[in-house]
Amino acid sequence: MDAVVRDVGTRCWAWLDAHRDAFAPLHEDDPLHAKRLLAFGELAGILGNVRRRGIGGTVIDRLTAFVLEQIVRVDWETPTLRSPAFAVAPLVASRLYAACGRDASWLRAIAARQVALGALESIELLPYRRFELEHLLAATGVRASSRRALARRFAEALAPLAKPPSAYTTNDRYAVTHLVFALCDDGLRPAEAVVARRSLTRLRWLVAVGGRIAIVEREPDLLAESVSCVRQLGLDEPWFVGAAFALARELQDDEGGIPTFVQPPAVLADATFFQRYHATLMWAHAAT
Amino acid sequence: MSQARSDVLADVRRAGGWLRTMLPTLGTAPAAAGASALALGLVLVDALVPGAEFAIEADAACGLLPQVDDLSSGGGADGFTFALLSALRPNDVRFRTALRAFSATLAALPAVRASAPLHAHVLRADDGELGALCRRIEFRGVVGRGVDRRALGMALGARAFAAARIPGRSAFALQVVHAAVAARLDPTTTREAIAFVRRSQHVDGAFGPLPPSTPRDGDVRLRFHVPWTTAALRTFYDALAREPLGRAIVRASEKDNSPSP
Repeated sequence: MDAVVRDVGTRCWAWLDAHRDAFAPLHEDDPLHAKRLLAFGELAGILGNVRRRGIGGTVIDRLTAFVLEQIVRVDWETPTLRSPAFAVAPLVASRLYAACGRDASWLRAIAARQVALGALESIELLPYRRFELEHLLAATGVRASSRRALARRFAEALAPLAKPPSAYTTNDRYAVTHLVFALCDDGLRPAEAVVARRSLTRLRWLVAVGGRIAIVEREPDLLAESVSCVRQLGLDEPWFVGAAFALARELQDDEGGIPTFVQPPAVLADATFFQRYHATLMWAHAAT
Repeated sequence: MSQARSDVLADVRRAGGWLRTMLPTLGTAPAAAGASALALGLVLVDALVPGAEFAIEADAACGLLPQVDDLSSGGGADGFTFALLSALRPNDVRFRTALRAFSATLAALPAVRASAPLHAHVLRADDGELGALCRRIEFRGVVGRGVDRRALGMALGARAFAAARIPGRSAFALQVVHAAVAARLDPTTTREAIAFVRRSQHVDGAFGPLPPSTPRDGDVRLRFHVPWTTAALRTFYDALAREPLGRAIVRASEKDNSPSP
């Protein structure tokens, strides 16, 4: 299985490297600006996690250098970057910056200004996004939070998921994975550091069953996130991880890209990139 | 009594109240259409709800079922449902006769052992294969290590919850979760399965994802909602009772067939 994991991961990173220019945020006037900004933020987040775990390599180093170069070119205070979709963007960027030994205070200052203005409290965020934000504000030192406050936000985020998975929307399914990522600080903190172990029983089950649903329904993007959740929660799931990577390899194209959805969404100007970048990034992360 | 158990029993009582209203409609319909499902549903409610609140209706529904001669001559009665009823009404000769007719089929069902290959098979099998496996699980139970049993429970849960999100596949989803519940494979999967089943109950107590009548088929309550309600009640019964119904009739059948000392 290790050989399959390495192979999938290596080829995913190669695809990301080959398409790195497509991650560059274009000017705000460009119709694809928001989409590329979103992709850029996802790449910065994954690289930040990888760097914080002390992992490098030729391709990862090259991608990191590219992202760091772009970070200083972005205008972080545009209306787009103040919208709810990008509430965590400067915080994510600051984590990568700091992980690379650079002074991230200017990025934290941008987020701190939004906190001081009350702007982050007044935007509409789904509960799990609100938990992510609380976690990142605390993790970057922009706004302190207690274990109790984080646990309360976590409970609020879990409340909309108190229904059987048969009733889950796609948003609900991603809420599960993102809750784990924030709870576990992308694998750098045990979940029990925030909430009691007995409170995690259902979340662990949701990850295990949600991942299996992703296998049944052949959903490579959710499957990759589920694999990362399994690792971050410390679940003993060798069969599931093996089956997941087997499916990833089956769906991986000749360039190393993996489609985010097996049935692609509407064609965009840069269809191949937007149809593949997210799942490819998530599989690169899951394999690393 | 736990709140969860109390909530389920409230749903069972509501279902019994609705099944009770369906009893008079049997007089205008062919005996086979919904009669045996209605009887099983009311007998299950009578078994679960304390205080004999539904005993009279359960007896009345059983009384409307065909006699032994009609059953043995294939008079349209549901032999399988009669076999299930034998676990709850062991003194009724019709039901014991039906169980004997099924005993060879039950005895031939292979045992189910939880394992990684089986777990993988559950996630990839087509509906027919999985349905057959679920029948084996319901009647034979599952043996194996706890970790493998829990993994099998989660795999069945995943198949069921994935199917439930697709219009027209709720019946298959119910069949699969029922198997996981009946075999008591994983406590969390059982809780989620019960939550799923509960969500399909209407305010009037009936279960099933259709309205009472459709433009094409007219009143579908006897043909659709009664069997669906009874299937939901079987899932509740298998979760709450000391012994699941399928296992009970297999045990009774084996005892019936064992040589006398």
